[in-house]
Amino acid sequence: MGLGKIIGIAAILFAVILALAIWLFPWWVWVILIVLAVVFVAACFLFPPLGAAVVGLFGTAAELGTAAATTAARAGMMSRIFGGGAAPAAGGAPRPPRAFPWKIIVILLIITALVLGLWQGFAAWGRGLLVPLVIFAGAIIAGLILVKSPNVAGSIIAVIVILALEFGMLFFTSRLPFAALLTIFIVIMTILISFSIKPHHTGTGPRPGSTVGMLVLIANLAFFLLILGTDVHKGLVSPTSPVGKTIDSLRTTLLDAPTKFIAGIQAIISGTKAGIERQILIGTGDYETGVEAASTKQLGVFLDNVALTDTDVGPDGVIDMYGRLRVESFKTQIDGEPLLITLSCYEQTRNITGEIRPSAEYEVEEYENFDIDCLFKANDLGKGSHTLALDAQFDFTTSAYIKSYFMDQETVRALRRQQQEPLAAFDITDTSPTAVYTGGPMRIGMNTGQQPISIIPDRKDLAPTLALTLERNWLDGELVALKTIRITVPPGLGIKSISGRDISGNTCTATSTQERTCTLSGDFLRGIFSEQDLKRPFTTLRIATEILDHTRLLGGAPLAIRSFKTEIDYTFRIKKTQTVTVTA
Amino acid sequence: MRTFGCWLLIIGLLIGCTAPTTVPAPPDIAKGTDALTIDLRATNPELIMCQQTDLVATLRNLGTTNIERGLYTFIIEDQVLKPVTGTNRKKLFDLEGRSQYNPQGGIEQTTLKVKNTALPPQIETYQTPIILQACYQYETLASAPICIDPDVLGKNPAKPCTVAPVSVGGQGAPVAVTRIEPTMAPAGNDIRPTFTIYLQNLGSGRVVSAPDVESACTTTTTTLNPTVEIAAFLQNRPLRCTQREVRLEQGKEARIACESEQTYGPAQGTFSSILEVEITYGYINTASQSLTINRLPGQERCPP
Repeated sequence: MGLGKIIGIAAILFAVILALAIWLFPWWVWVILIVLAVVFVAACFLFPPLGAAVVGLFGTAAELGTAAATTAARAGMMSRIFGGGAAPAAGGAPRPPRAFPWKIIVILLIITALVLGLWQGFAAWGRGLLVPLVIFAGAIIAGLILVKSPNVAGSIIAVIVILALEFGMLFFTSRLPFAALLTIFIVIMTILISFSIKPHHTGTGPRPGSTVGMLVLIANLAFFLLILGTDVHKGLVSPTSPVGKTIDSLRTTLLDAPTKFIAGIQAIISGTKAGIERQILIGTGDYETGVEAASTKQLGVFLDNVALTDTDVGPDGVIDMYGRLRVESFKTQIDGEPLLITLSCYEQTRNITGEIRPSAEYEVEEYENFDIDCLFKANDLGKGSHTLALDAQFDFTTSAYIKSYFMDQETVRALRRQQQEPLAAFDITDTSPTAVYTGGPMRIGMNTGQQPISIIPDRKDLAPTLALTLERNWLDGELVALKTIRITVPPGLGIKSISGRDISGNTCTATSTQERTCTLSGDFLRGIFSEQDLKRPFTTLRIATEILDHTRLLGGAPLAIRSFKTEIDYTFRIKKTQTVTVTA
Repeated sequence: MRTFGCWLLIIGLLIGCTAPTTVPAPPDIAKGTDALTIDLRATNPELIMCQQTDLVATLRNLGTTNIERGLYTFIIEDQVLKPVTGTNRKKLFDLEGRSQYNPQGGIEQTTLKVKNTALPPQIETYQTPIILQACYQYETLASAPICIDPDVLGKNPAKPCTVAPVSVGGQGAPVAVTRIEPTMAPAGNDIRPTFTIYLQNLGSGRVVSAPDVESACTTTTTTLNPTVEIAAFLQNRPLRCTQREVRLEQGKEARIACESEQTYGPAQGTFSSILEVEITYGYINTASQSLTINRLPGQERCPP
């Protein structure tokens, strides 16, 4: 079976499904269609020439053109399936090929179009009468061309079949994820395939295959220019009908596509850049990893279900972008201040702000939800397509810890001399502890070097260095400010410097468990992190420690299990966008 | 009825006349390669933040040597767990070894009550290791039948034994004599029995020299010299060994050569005897468990 036949069969199936889906009527319509189909099949069996004609149609729709002799022979052979009126003479030479019964097909097409058109016209009067009329007219024109010129008829049928297949696929994929990509893919593939189709050609007329691709291309250009550039389709199809909704969906998807495409490219570039930078830093030992702590909840501040009440708004209408603000946090008090979330919404290119209801600021408890609306006047935005953004800026805290093991250097050496791993001697299986951080917009990686950490009693300067990597965990947001970083080191240790800077200006206190916590102030952090640093996906700090009390650090035992802890308080901003069209 | 009574009498006589059961032989206690075994567990392995639990360690001496003044230490993460007042994380212990009178060996159960004092902020679940390390002095007493054969030329075709390497199994202690290779070294007309004794740590713990054993569990700095002291005897007379102390690396066999000071002449004939080896050393056993601490919703800090 050639490509044309496959496309022909698939197209007819799609056309049937499309017809059923477009004219989505009550169940009894489906019953009638099924009954009609059964009656039709039965008629094919009872009336063999009809069956032969239908099979011939399936087999040769795309190749109809001038391959009449071959097709007719096949149709004659197939007609035997339906009762044998066209069976070749027994024992003799095959019958001379019979002309393809295109007249029957034309009649069938005209009758089908007439029935569908009238039925749709009567049943959905006022909801898009033009559609069935166009189909009806198109079918008649196609039929007439088919009757008059078989060569051109082959091309016309191939174009109809291909377009039916394409728009059927677009109809079903218009609501799927990545609809824009799928649409572009389907359109390009359809055009490429249509250019590659070469229907059989005999005689002296123009070769029909040369026109198929061009016709499909023109039809696609016309269709997309029509729906993207004008509102003509709204006069042809009711916006509430499935076809109308599909066209709207395609239009929104394609209008959003450039913005999303650019954003996607930017994300890929920044992701690749970050990945390369990360690999370089891993290679040089300046990037530390961590794993997110197991949590029953996903921590953070979220904008859920952001959408528009209507994607097409008239010039006097109000645009309502709504969503749900959801807060999942353990800690709602940062330095005694309540956790404050500030919302804003605006049109991206012209920076026109909308009005947030019920409030643009929220003081939240640990777990809370708020329904919010952002209202724009369509007049303020003006006619055309607009990208609207909803921002939530909030303060958040992310914590992390890493376990470490301390041993006296002599003990470590003695064990290694015995070909024994020091930690294995204490039944410790987690010999390379990984930092654990709490969920949220930022992640923290930590590392304290090879384990166990060897301590020399009379060398207070030979203390471990804690490497700390701060990395953006949510790619669709941005770090606005680093407010404080609290670093806690185990008992017996102190913090000497951070990335080479003396920490004397910051507060360091001892905790109840004899740990030492240093709080790095915003001013100190601004000296370390520039505005540019905050925009980078990650940055690494090196915290040099010193031994304050060797005995306390080792705890009077050959092995000490200790933890380094970090808390960062920061301001983060998340953003969600929607596209709206203000109509004339 | 009378017939039934007769049958009953016959059966009773038959049962009464069966041979008496043999007296069970005393168990061979000098077997195996274990000394101290430790079973460590928390009574509540899923601890709720700020609550306390008991860390229970069951110590069992499955070797044949009595442990005297052994020392155990609990190693915990002080930043999250704190021993409750009244319980000590270090303690001396004595534990009887297996013997014919106590074939099971001594058992001691010890408890450290700990309380969670804090968790890193926002962390819901935290896992921390708990370790128990026990250090004690131990001894291996190995004896093996060996053949003393002054007839090096093989003049006597009917010898009661032949000189051959002897394999020795576990001796109820972790450090074991694995095999003995006897050599009848000529000494004039006589021979001087010489033995190469092979040793290995077959237990699950670590060897440390006997003098260092206490510091291995108490101090932070220790050289942990894995040496054992060895002494061998033949016919209750001490053998002269090339060295008194042998370094015993983990997983490796060490050897020492010992020779008899006494020589044996052909007149004494070929005979079997028992070679006894005494090994003294310190030994360290470790057991660990993981304790999970869970934060309840809303918990921030533990009360002081």
